[in-house]
Amino acid sequence: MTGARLHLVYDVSHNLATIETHAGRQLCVHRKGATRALPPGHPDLPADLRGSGQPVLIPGSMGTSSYVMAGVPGGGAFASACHRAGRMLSRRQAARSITGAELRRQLEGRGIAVRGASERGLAEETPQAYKDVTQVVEAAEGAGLCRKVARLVPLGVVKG
Amino acid sequence: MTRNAADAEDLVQETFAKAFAAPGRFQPGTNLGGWLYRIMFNTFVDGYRKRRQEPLLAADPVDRQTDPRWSPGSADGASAEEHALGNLLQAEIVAAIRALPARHRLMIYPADLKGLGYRQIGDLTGIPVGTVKSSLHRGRGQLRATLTAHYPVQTDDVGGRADSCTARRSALPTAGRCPIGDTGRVLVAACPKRSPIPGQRGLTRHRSAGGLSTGGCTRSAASARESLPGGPGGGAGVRPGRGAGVRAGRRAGLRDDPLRLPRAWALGLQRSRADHGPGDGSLRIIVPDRQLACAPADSAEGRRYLGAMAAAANYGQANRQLLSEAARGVLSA
Repeated sequence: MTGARLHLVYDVSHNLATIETHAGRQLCVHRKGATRALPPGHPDLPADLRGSGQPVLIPGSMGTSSYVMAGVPGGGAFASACHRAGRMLSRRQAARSITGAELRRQLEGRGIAVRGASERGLAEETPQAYKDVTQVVEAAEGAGLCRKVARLVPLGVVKG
Repeated sequence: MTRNAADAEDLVQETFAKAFAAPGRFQPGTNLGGWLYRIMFNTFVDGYRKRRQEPLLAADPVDRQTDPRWSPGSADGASAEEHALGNLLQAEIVAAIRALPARHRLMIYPADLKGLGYRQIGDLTGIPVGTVKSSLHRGRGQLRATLTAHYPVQTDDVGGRADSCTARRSALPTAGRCPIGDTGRVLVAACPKRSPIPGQRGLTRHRSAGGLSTGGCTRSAASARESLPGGPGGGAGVRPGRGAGVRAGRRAGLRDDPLRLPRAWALGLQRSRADHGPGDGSLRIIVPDRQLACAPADSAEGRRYLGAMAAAANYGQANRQLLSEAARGVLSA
């Protein structure tokens, strides 16, 4: 891996309130658990994203896929999409369902490198704690909020 | 109690099972509901103690998205955006309400958009009920005059006072759809003799619906002040009587027009005695939960909040740049 170069492709902040214009009205749109998904051609998009629509990253969990989606016209939700697969277990419940060491063994057994995590912190993020990201993505696309662009699989996970 | 629909159903079932198993324990003449509630409470506590030992699934993890109880109103196939926009007031109506003198506007909002009764408004604002009634009468009269100018109604077609609401509704440009949803409340506001929302006038009903009570309001407002960026400012430690806020608000002329953000008013809004101008942290907005804060988006507090949020986003972005750079260092080493 040495000598590899790393380019920033896309960076976005979630859970923000912004003042926007929708249907001719100025509104304060607060996306909680959601992210902006502007459709192709939207004037707020930078030139290199204008053709594709705004990227929407939907990470799954440490052990499952993540998806790159893009905004579509007429989403019907103030140009918003979910920004992750929601939790099914609270952090505490998740930490009780599996030990960090066991989870580390499982992930490494599947070729996923694990770095920088306390045992407890790792267990809180166990894949079983999250909804099935593929179902979430299907639902988001089916609801017309965004479209699928790419599926990513984890090579390594870093938990701060 | 259970925070989970399935557990709630189980609890109710178990409660009735226990009640039927021991009808002799009920003392005739006492409160049946209270007896059942006591059984339910004890059953819940017993179960809670047992269940504390086991890991639990979070409350209804998937159901909120599919259970019709969590998506009211989506049966008509309208999107969330359409619903939200449909709930906003039409510009002409906002302008008409905004043009009212502050004392009338202060009454119109809770009475005709939130459906509160005279007594509730009196309790909320500390204004005597007689004054509430007279202010409402004048405010509604003025509103009716303004709205009739916007949506002229041929009096020949009306056929009596009781029908004037219907007539006015059909005169709206949105073809029968009330500008604030399907309730017609704003239009009813133009007919002073009609109750805005039948059946929603009792104080008990109000409490159970919104969880509002004056005691809770004071606490919530205090926590809202504390949660706002900029801190409590001039409002710190000041807990005016319930009437003082509105009287001070009238003196101050309500500089931050609350109608720009109807949602903020949806929970009631008063200004405190410490109102020395916008931005002193003295907005008193009553919210149903101590963890919530609320301010009109274009008030000084709202602007400060959005500014702080933007600063946090910038901070996060800078932080991620540093992390990326560190990762680059590792990969290129």
